[in-house]
Amino acid sequence: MPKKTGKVRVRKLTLAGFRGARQRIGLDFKPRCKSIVLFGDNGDGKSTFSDAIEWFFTDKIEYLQREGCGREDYFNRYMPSGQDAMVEVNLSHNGLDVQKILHRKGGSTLAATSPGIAAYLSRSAGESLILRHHTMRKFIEMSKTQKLETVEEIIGFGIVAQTREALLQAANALKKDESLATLQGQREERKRDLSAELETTEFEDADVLKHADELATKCDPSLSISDDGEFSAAVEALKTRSTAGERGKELSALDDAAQKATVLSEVPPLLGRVRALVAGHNKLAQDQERVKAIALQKLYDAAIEAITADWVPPGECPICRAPVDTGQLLTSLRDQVAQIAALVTRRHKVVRAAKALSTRVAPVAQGLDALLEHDAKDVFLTDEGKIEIVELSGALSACTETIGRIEASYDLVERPSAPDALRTIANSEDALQARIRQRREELDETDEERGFYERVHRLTKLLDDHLRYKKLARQAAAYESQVESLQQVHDMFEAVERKGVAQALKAISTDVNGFMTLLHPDDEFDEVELIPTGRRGVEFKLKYHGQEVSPPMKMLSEAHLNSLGICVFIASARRFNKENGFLILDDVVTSFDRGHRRLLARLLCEKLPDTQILLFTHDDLWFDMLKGELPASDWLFKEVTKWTKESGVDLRDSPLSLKERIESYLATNDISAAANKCRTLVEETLKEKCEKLGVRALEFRTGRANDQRTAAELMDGLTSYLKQNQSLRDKTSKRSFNHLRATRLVANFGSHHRTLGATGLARGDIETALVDIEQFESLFVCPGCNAQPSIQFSPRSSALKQCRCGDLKI
Amino acid sequence: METIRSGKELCDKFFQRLLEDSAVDSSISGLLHKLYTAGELTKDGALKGLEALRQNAEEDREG
Repeated sequence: MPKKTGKVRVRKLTLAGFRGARQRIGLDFKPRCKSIVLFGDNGDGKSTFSDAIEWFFTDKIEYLQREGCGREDYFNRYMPSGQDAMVEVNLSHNGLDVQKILHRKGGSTLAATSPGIAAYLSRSAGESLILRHHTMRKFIEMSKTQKLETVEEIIGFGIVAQTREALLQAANALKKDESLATLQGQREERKRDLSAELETTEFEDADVLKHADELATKCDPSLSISDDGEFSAAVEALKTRSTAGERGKELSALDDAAQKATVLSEVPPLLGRVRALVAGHNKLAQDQERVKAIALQKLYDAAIEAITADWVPPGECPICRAPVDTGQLLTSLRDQVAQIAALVTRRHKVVRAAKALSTRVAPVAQGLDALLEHDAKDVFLTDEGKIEIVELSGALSACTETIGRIEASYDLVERPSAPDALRTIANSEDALQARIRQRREELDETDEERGFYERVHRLTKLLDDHLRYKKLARQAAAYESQVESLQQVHDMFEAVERKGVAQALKAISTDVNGFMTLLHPDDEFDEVELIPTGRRGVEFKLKYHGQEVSPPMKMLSEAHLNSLGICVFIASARRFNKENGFLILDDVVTSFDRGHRRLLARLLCEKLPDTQILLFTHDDLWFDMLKGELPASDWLFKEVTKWTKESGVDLRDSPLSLKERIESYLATNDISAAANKCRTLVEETLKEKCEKLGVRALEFRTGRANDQRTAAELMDGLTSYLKQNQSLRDKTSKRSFNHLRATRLVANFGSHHRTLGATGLARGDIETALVDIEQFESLFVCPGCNAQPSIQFSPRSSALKQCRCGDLKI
Repeated sequence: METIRSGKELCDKFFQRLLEDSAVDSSISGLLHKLYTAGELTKDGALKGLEALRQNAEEDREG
């Protein structure tokens, strides 16, 4: 019996109307949650039990889904059409008794004895519980990235992957933020202006202050600038001085006007950018059909989920219930969702650009308005010029409104018209600056005055550029520092994740390597490892006959790859199933040869002693072998009887000995099955005698190789041994040997014609064979101690082998 | 058998250690720790938190 490890095991599994089970049927593991070997011919319904467990835990049966089967295929075909299906699982832990009903009308419900069942099912999600023949190589054949993702899922790293993605996406989004780009652009603009004034591209704050100090000293030797405070105070003092007289005031106003007039040159490119934005927006808005479909995205997503989770039967639309081609509908829905996602991405780009542009339009519009309000406007603006500026300002206001509408909705917007003033703006600015220059000349500045005002103007602009540059640089640096920090945290997290995955891979690899060498002791497998590859990948690497192989498909046979699949499954379940202490292996030995099957049984016993195993097989030889190999105290042996549509799947206890099995076949008049088992019984009997006597010709083949001997080979070996030792040479013994030879031929005949149904064997032939086998066996049993002569009881040098008491020597 | 840390254990430990890591900007590590603990560590959650950090820093400087 599995030890108590605190993990959940199955006490009983009951089904009705589910898959092959028409009537209520139960697999009972009580009272000690024993493991089970369930034998059944293909098509008799043993997988009904693994299907039921998979559906119970995951709401789906993956291999059926892949084959295009839907939830209606989960119902038994021959039960009344209105009846629901039921799977009841009684688990080892108190309160974990659950009945899950699959409703004909759709959906399923859970009736549980404990409210903790939802938490239990949630904790069980992602655990490796079932391995089937057709999925055992799934992991091996995955891409490296899929392998890593699967390993991460197995080891419960879903939350790790989500966290890593969130960090990376945030860092990337911040890096591409339009506001950051705008800040960086404005910062560079100011830097260019500062570079032009300082006549150097590389400078620091101290260089700006030093340059300002030099300019200020030339204006007034008493001024000194060593920090921003002194810089602001000096500029303020100089500006006050420059505007002290009427003439000075006007000259200062003209300087200011000349600087502010440069805003005119910003208008044409800005209007161009707005028109480009409108064109991009309208292109999106013109596709109104798809725009409207955005509102349906949630509905489409829900419909996709309903189809993939089998909440609706195939052939039925999940929205309107009308008949549809489910495959086509799914493709169409996914296509729609992908198109909507692309549209939304483009829309986000447009909105980001609109936001960035609105931060530029407003200051330029304000700059134009400032020109109209300027103290010296009558000097540099003509009446036509004022009208032009009003026109441009109006155009920018219209742009602001358009940008607002773009940000607010998908509706088409009107393209801003190009004002007439735009065509003459360059001439207007030139004329404006010329009028300012002319007025300066009229004011009859001296060279000294001109120099003074020019320096004050430069200092004023330098201060403005310096302070603005520092602010922009600080704001951009805040972004850049956050990007850097996020990237740093992401990299640190990824390193920790890699370490965690590597630790898990090492643990899985250690187990897989041990299991592979146990399953293939003669095949020289070594250093089987799952190793990280590249940034996001995992692959197998192993040594096979001393040669490094990666990936395993390069060199390994089908059987080896299947072994590897089983080993990975068992290793991952052993290490990472935290909740459940049971596993289902459904027909996983089909491609194994006989020797490896026995080794697999040993692996399960030795490496998973605490786990409840539900082992399903259609291989009767392996089933019989397991009966000898696995302790009856811990294991149940059951058989699925011939499936019928009236009763569906049915079970019976399996006879433990081959003789009992033959008798049970005879009782149901299945002569060919009895003959087949009779052949196995002859082989097993001969093998046992040869092993006990240490028949020399067979000594060097033990274990797996011994399993592969034929009855004829064993009979010849035994005969030769007896002849050499002059044992059992009497007439009765020789007759018994001859009868066994005949039995072997009869059983072979019956066995080999089994599938053809052409055997002419009668029930009496098998009954006689059983008597012959019994008589043959009795030759080797001491009537005194009831033990068989064996090398175990015999001196090493003795040719003859004796029984426990020594009375019988053979 | 060696115990392998679960994904949650790994994340818990990482964000706890992040708080103590002087190599990482403490405002960022504090924000990420807070978001993770609240189960709100998503791209949008992080961006929103980072924007608030920038605004607060700018207000502190100017105010």
